[in-house]
Amino acid sequence: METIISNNLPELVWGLYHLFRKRVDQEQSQESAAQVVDRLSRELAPVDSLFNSISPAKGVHDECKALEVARDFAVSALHLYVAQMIHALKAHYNRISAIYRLPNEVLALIFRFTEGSRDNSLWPLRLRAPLNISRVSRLWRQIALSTPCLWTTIDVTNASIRSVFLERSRNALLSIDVLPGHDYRLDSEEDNCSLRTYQNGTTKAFRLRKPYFTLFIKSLVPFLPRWGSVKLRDIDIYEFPTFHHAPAPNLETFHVYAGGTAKEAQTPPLHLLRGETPRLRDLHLVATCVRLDSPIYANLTSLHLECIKFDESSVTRLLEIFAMCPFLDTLGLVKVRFSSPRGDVPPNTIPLKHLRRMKLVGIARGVEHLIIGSVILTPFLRLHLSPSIDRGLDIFPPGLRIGNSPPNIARIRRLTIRDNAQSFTVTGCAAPTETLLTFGFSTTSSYHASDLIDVLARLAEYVSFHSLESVTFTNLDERTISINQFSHMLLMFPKITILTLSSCSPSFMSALTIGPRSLHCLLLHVLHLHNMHISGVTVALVDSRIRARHWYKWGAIFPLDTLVLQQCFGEVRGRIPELRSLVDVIWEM
Amino acid sequence: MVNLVTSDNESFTVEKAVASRSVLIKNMLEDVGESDQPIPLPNVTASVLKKVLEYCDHHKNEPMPTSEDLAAEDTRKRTTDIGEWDQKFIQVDQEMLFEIILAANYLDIKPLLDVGCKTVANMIKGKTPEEIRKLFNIVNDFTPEEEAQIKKENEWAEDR
Repeated sequence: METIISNNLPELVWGLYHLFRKRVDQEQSQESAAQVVDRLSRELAPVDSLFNSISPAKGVHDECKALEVARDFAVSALHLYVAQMIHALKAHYNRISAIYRLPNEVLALIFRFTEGSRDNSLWPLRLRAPLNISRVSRLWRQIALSTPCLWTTIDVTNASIRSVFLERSRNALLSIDVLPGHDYRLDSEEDNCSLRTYQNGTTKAFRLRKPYFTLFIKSLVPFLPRWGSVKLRDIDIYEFPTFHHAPAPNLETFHVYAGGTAKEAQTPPLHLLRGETPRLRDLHLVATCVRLDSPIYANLTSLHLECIKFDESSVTRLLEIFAMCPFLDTLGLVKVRFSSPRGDVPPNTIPLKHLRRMKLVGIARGVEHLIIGSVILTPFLRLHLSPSIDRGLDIFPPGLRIGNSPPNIARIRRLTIRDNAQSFTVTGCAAPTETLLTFGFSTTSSYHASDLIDVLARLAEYVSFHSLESVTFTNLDERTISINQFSHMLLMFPKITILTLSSCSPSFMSALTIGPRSLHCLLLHVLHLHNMHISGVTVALVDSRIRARHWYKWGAIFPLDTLVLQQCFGEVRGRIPELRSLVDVIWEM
Repeated sequence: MVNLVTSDNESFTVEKAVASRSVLIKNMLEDVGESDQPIPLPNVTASVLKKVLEYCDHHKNEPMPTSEDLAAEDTRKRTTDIGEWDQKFIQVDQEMLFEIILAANYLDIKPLLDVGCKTVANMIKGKTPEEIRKLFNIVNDFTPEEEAQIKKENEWAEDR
């Protein structure tokens, strides 16, 4: 067969191909390919003279049989050869396409980025890398199959085909994520409807497969030496002997999210993974208690403890952990309580020279003071504090040398003040994506607005309000904050050039109108209104800020030049012409 | 200043700090020392080098990635986030995008290579194989036997 193909078939196929092309080109007809083939077969049919050469001694029947065998043989050979030709042509076509110019290692890097994107785990399997990539073409499949790190993530969606991933990842470290969709955080730009739908789909898969999580984890136990990252939600790690007795020599990340609050006294003493996790750097435990004397806390770069009540371990032991983690980059303590006396600030402060983020939320003020007073903070620290505000107390713990120790706070140029009904959040940023301080606090209902003003006044001791460029107020309601109180706050920010009101009562706009008794934010260039009611008051506000330049000394006041209306309601459409006659208006429906 | 000559024989004179964003050029400069000799770049055309130099100029004051950074990156989960300026910079047609990636790879400019690769990765993610083929003008070159094998392998993917 091979000989026939190589000796005769190419010539035959090419001959037929050229004949076919020639006829089609010559006649320029509208005939379909099938019609042309049919016509050619009739034209090429054997002539009578052919039959004269057949010996009458030979039976016609034998001749037919032989011809049929020859035909089947020729057809098979033709199929094979044409398939090879088509394949070669397609391969050639791909070779000349632009993306095939990239070397294989660059394509592998692209595939790694695709697989490593935050939302990859949310897509349905057929759309998810590396499964979609490995079905594009031969070359892409070959690269995907020879890149083990593309196959290391095992989660609730692909759990059913984990054997494929375990095999193709060869010896690479595994990333085991048993999380619902909402635990895969999306960027705002990725925050689109379809992705939200897929996020819900992953959550649904999580719920459906919940009864099988135990089996799922057990099936991965033989691969424990390959566990690199494990993130689990709603899995009781106390139920797994593996988590007590087996070491995880390559585990780098371990996150466990459970519900409620874990109480140290009510949980069995858990020396997680026998304490033998020499490469563990990122530990995140929510409602999961591991005694603070466990060796797993050593040498961490990220530590987050949440919803845990330590009945036996002391704060002092926590401070000892900090000392064992000199490269700690991120520290989060949320709703962590200690029963034992908090003790005194140790004589030697603990240098945490690499700490970039510290979040202390919902922990006792005394513990917060002890922690902050015991460590040396870095100049680039980003703080997230949420103390309970006691009137008369400093908003920051006295141990925090906020003025000189973390000078980051002095870099704040943008402030956002959000009213959450019974609490406020104040966020300070240097740039839109660079949050330096998040400060949340609850208030008593009777002191709601005055608490905010009080906190701002105390915050002004650390943050230069005169250097602020932009302030945003969100959800302010005139039922809790009066116009006078709002005006009082505006006086604190005399040099801002951008002011945003988002979902606030419309009456606050009147405080911005320039008049004999109202001269706030005289340098305002841009007023941004988001989800606000637009009416004649808005026009009066803008008009006053344009006319005011005629009343005051040149340079004392800056006329408003841009008004941004985003998702506003009320008389927006009707007021736009008036507003446009006064300032540049950017209108987003 | 450094003089760079492209494959189409166009010459570009740029600051040393800009040219040194390329590890290839940086090593060449270190090898030859102070010299006025132009550096030939036979794998890069003028139109591509112009874009590459625009990138290098914008990022000239940023610290160069160290070998530790690169090693850490390998172990970290990769993301497809691209900075605002870089996103605008890389808004080019596919032909130019691949040329920039090839040039970044040849010139050894890792951050630019990453920006290019992340852009292509963003184009790929969440798409079916057929959509990917259409996007990059690729044809399905699997043999019928391979196709049948892949289909069998991926039957599980059809249910979700």
